[in-house]
Amino acid sequence: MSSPGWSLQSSRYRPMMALGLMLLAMAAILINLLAGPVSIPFAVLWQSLWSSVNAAAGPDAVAAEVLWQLRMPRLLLGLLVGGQLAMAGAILQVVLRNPLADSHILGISGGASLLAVLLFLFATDGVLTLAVWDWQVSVLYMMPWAATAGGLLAAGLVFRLSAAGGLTPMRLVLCGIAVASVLNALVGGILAGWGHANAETVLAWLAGTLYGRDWLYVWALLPWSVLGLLLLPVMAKPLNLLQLGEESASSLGLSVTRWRGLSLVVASLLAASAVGMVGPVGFVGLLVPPIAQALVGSDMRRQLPLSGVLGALLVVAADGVGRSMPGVNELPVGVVTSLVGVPFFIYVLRRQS
Amino acid sequence: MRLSAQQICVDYGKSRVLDDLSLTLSEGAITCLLGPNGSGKSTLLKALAGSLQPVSGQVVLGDRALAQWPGKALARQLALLPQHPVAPEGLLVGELVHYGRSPHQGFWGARSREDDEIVAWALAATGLAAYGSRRLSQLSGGERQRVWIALALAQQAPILLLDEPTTFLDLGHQLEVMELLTDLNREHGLTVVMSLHDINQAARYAHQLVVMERGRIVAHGEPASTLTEDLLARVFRVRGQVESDPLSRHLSCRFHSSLNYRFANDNG
Repeated sequence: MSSPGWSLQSSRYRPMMALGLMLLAMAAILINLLAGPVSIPFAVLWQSLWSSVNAAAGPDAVAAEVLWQLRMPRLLLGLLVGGQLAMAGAILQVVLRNPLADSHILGISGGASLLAVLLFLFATDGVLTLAVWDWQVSVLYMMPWAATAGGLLAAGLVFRLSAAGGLTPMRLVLCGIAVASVLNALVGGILAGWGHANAETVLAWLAGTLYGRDWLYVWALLPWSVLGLLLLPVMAKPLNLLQLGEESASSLGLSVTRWRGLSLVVASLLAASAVGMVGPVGFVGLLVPPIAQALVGSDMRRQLPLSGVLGALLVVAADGVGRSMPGVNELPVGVVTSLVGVPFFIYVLRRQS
Repeated sequence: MRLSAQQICVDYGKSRVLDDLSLTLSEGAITCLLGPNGSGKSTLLKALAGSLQPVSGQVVLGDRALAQWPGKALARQLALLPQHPVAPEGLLVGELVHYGRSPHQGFWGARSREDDEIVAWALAATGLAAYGSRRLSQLSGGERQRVWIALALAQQAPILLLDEPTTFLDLGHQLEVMELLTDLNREHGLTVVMSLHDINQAARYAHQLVVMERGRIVAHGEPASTLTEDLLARVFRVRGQVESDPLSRHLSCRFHSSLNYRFANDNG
């Protein structure tokens, strides 16, 4: 039992915590931008922030190119994806009243993956393009939309199946697990049965990776992130009341079924669009919200934004670790988050019992 | 404002839980719902609070059916304390009681000075003035129940519905909750409606008793005229005696034996 003054939740520690987080964020961002196969001196980053990229010449120009065309979009995408996955997890854990809930459990990731894999399979072998009328469009750019649609379809299916029970948390979790298993089996079945030249790309995508993501991905994901940011202040108070259970929330004037449904839709959008960009990066939505709760308590007006920040940091840090692994290839970010996530998952389970 | 149920029926799946039930609650009084397990007390409270829609009939508050009240406006008139309230881990007592102010706040739930004052009052009224920054999980069962009552008080609804507020408390804490509710009723004119298992406590603290059996009301009135030996035998299946204290006029029941158990044994 901790005395109230000792707990991290106490507001006395908040300035310190905010400072610590900022320092961590700065460190993670700098390392991600500067370290890698092409090591970039800090001076080049500093210079290219203030002057046009072309002004530099010689080796600095190459460094600036790597910085702006490869590392910066990858970093930003990592931040957006991490923030979205963590916020989706925070919302789902409240609505499903289950600390082990995240977008995998509701079938959102599974639906997103299934449509994404189908898209890969219809693409021309090797080059990964799909004919849309006259253009050859790279499927990678269509992936976010397909995945979002898939995630929403899966979530819609889960809602339909659980609606008979009035969207109770238990029914949602059970239907979600069932739908997710079917979807994951379909993904595996397609991969195994179809035998396709793009299978290798699909496998890399399914591991969850930020490799080779350029500015187009950032622009494609940005609308969903902005939507999430705009909805955040509207969702916080209803989520707070939902934490008190159906009867108390309804007695406090909340329309429970409507807000449960809306929260699930928002969480699905946030998670599925992120999955579409980088593949099913696991455990971010599971890992981050309990940490945020331990830091600032369960008031969602603080927990939700902090989850976003911590999720962004986690994904960027994991990507940094994955890239600096010794060896020829880098470790996909989804593998790193899973390696961190599984022990944490077991820890939560043990603490619960 | 007057709260009444008009011929409401409620189903759970295929079984009918409330059957064509009508009830008008006396304003400013303490009403206790009594009845054996499964008689529909909790369901009636939920229907009265509007968290459960009857399949037919309606619950009317003031001049409108509950369904026609906007959620927040209704929450300013009616507060329900469920039988098993839940709170997220790590929540502080003050934070929880502040949630009671949400029907009076905007979408973000920003606190006004008035909110702070009302929360402080609700905490003081329930004897929790020093508990605001404690964690809910660190409190005893009795203290926690008072926190939930404080939440309902902060809501400042003139009608308070409580589903078995004393069931999981020891005797001392049970009486504490009952006396708190009596004070609130006397000092603030709160209309209190609660379900109870303890017939003696109901007889002692309630102005009105409502006795239910299988989704219907079988008796309704002042304790002295409602609580009879015949009723104890018929509804609760116990043989007992109802006595009135000559000085305080308080009723009390003495129970002798279960009629069901003997009945079952006699048959085989």
